[in-house]
Amino acid sequence: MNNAKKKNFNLIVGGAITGIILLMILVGIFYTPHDPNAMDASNKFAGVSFKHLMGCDNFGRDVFSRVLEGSRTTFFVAAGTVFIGTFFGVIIGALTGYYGGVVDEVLMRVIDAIFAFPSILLALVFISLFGSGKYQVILALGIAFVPSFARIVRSEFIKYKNMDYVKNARLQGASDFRIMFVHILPNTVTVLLSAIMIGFNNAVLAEAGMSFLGIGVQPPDASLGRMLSEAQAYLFRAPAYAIFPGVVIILMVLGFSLLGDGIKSEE
Amino acid sequence: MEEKHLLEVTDLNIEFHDHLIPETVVFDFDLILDEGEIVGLVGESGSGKSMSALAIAGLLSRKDMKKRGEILFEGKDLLTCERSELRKIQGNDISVIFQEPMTSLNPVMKVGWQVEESLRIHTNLTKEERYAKAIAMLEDVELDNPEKVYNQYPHELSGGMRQRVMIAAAMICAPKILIADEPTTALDVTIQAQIVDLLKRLNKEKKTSILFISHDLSLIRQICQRVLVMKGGYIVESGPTEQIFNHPKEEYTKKLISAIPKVEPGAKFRKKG
Repeated sequence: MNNAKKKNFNLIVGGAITGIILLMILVGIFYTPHDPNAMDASNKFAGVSFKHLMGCDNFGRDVFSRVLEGSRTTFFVAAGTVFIGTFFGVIIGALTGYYGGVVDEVLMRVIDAIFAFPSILLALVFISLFGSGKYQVILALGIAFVPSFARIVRSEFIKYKNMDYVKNARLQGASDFRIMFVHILPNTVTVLLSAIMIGFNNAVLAEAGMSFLGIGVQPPDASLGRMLSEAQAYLFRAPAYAIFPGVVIILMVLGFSLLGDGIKSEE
Repeated sequence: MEEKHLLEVTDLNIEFHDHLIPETVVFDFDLILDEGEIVGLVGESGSGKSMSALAIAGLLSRKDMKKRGEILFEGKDLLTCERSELRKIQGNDISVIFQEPMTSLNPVMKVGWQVEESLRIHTNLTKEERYAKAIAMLEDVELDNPEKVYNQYPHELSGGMRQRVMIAAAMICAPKILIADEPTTALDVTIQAQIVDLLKRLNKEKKTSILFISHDLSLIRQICQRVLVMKGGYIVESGPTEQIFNHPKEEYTKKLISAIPKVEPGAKFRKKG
């Protein structure tokens, strides 16, 4: 029965890359070869060696340890962002899509207003309101990500709300709330899941971008974007310092987008 | 002394207001349904029969249309009562089965879950009690191997089986009224006969009144005690089934009856050669 099914390479490769990254993050919580924030002037710009797998940075900190910690920060910020975006996006999308009419008009115009700004720019505005830091970045990016999720969920709800089985649920006496979140929402899971994957990628890049600009995660904490921005000044003296965090960002994004494609084609 | 009816619809008018020009689709609809009765509603497509049924079931949105008249269910007017009040009746006292069994079940939910849904909404039964009831109900609608069907998804079932599941889901709270909106139209003839027999049996055993909507007169004649004939939003004729079939008064009813395909009892098949 299974041999007729084509192998889903996107899912396998994406899953493998994401798995490795997650494993790295998990290991990084409990063990890093060196203290990621310990400076050592004698190892300034040390090259790649067995002692320092990815070399050392301008303060002599071990880049590998910092990548482990930095990818954890980046992952955490991206996951938090996507969570906020999905949570509010689903609620707004469900209400607007299901009820239509005035609710739809009012909420969607607010969403449109948010959508009108590029998400990074909008996050900048929020950062200047909230101040900078890890949690502020999550909140700012999360708000900026709500509109795209809201639109996706809304269109799904519009598609499903006139289905016979939704009418049937209404005829069984189900409340609007129950119809929205128990009957319709499970139908949107596949679309939502790939949207989450794409959103996650954008969040990784957005976090990296904001930290690169110096308004995201504050030093001495490591984040992949932060490391890139610090490495920029020493691009020629210590290329490894820029390359490794960059590669990890690429792998993280690649893994998740392949996973997203894989999930989409499973449907 | 006036007799109390289970369902009494008087002067129901349904008017759509979602376009510039209001459009009336049902005029002066009257219906009386008593306990244990099966009443047929016949008419061509667009005659307003489904609209009337949906209004009784409380599915028509309250914004876009104006409804006049009253729908009294056990003395309560379904047109004007609170939404929460209406929801308590829906699924519990009045259930509906649709024409299309293919799209009436939620594709991502297990069959058992959907059969139990009314119980979950209207009762406080435990998980085990619900399971027992659902299995009993699935057995009652003559599905083989109900434990297996309980754990299947709708796409794994045939059309006839899905319609049985729909009936099970509609009947699980033992409603007083079942509105069957062309329940057999999408099924083939042998399954049709089985479903009709099933409805008849449930009607007898559980004393559930059925409002049977169809454009198939021969079906109506098989199961209904009374018939209402609709055309263009009006009820053109109503009365006991046999009277309507044997002595139709209206031209339109005569036409409908003459349109039933007949197999002549004496007809012989021509032999080849």
